[in-house]
Amino acid sequence: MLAGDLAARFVAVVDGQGGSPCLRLASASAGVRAETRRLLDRSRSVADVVMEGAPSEPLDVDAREFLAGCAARAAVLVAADSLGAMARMLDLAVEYSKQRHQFGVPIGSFQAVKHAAATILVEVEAARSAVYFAAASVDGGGPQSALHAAAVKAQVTAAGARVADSALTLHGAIGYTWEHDLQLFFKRAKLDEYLYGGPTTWNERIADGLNLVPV
Amino acid sequence: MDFELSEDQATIRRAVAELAAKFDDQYWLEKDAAHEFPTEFYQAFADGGWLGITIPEEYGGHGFGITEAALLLEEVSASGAGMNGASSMHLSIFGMHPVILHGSEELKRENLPRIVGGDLHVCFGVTEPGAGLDTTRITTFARRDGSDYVVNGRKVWISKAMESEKVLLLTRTTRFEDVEKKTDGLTLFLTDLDRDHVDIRPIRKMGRNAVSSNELFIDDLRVPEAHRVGEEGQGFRYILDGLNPERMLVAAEALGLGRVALRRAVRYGNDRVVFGRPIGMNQGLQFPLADSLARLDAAELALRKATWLYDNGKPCGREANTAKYLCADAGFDAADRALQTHGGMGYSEEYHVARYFREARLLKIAPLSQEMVLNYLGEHVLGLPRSY
Repeated sequence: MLAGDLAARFVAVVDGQGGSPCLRLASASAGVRAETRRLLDRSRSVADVVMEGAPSEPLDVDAREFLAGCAARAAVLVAADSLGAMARMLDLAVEYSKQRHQFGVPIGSFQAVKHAAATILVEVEAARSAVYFAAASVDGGGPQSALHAAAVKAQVTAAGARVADSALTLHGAIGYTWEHDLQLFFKRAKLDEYLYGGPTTWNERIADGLNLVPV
Repeated sequence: MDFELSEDQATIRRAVAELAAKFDDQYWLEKDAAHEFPTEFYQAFADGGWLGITIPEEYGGHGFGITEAALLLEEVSASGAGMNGASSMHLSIFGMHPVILHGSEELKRENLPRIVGGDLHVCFGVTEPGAGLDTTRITTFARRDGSDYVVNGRKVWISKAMESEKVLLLTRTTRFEDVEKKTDGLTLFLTDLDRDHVDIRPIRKMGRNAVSSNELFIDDLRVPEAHRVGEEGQGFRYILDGLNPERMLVAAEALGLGRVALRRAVRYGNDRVVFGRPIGMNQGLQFPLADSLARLDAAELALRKATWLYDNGKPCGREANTAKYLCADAGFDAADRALQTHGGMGYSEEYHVARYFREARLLKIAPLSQEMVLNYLGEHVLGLPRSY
């Protein structure tokens, strides 16, 4: 659970009558234990949260609708996180390519470097349009909003992971070091790809919305 | 480990390249545009004795292996003849394999020397509208009538049928519904394409237009028993023997196409000047071509290993399929990049790379698609469950 070691209150999904889910609100107090897990991405934390005899109160909302809304918001926000990381990695890569000289010229003068940076820019702009659109769609609660959210979670976070690799290549070994900021965004983009399910999982959701033959 | 070609192999390679070079780019451009069989080219190879490269010496051939046949077809393709040149002789080179292994002495004496001499053109009649790679599903039926068979059915994607006198024809002699094993009940013939009973219609297609691809409508074609290859009902097994060699030869053709495409791209990259310098100086063009060189070289090694295994009597399914997969991909990518290097000129027929591109695309589909290669590797090599 993301930030499970930091949260003060938890919405727990429990089996209700007839097996349908219902929601209860619990506080981080007696009966709630969070076991932190360390991530490569040090800017975030996750924890396994165990509740044993924790006091809780019922939440009077439609659980399925609430969970679907959470999924859509999580998908769009993680995609937005990935977008931000990508944009920053592009800036870092371009800046570095002007500064770093090899064979007597800035490495940014090499076409292979330029093209790689230009490809990242295309990824960033495509991601920006998609994320803004999906965010507006989820805000508006339109009939396709869950699909739009799934599309950006699958596509944008995958692009983020590709961009991270490319940005690291452009930086060479310096990008692999602890001192350089690239590693922060690199790790964030890599976690974003698999946080709340990888692209395959979200692509399955999109596939479910199409009129395809079931596997 | 010895990566050196034998003296014979090196000689074959050089001689084939020299002979093929007599047919220039203009020749192939015109043959392709006119949809005309490259008779002069084919005849030159027949006269040089090349068509019999794998046919046993007792039937007039040279008795070489698949390694030598692959070198031959690779060089033909790489000369710029491409698939038009390779397909004109592909079946003569190795298509008679089932006949050599399983045919009667009489059938061999009657046909093999004529194949070597070049005057007998043959085609391969296996695939049908309702049965592509799912070979056991063919429905073309050979019914016994006295000592003859009478054949009815349809075949599709039969290369060179328009130009062929005979067909290596796969039929059912027992219907699919009536056999215990689906691979039983298929029977192979080498027989005449009697135009009174076989209607042949060329398919309009994207490329390789000097050699036709056809649909065959077979109506009461009478086939004497003597034209049967091997035993009745065993045809599938005979065809199966030839699949790996076919994959390797097609791999060689794809490799050759990649080589000629890359050669042209390099030449253009050096000659063409934009912004005051040769365009090959741009990393955006140079890197893809260098990448193609590396991929073609790697694919070539996979192919050489596959043909070596086959010629040494070792299992080669994994390697033959891998070679086909890698050569087709590397060949197509090289052709695509050659086209891109040429810019607008690549799109014109004049620079020939458009023709290579169209032909190279075919090899990602035929004789089996890249996806079917992956099915083979996934199921038979990796041991994963069959996916289809």
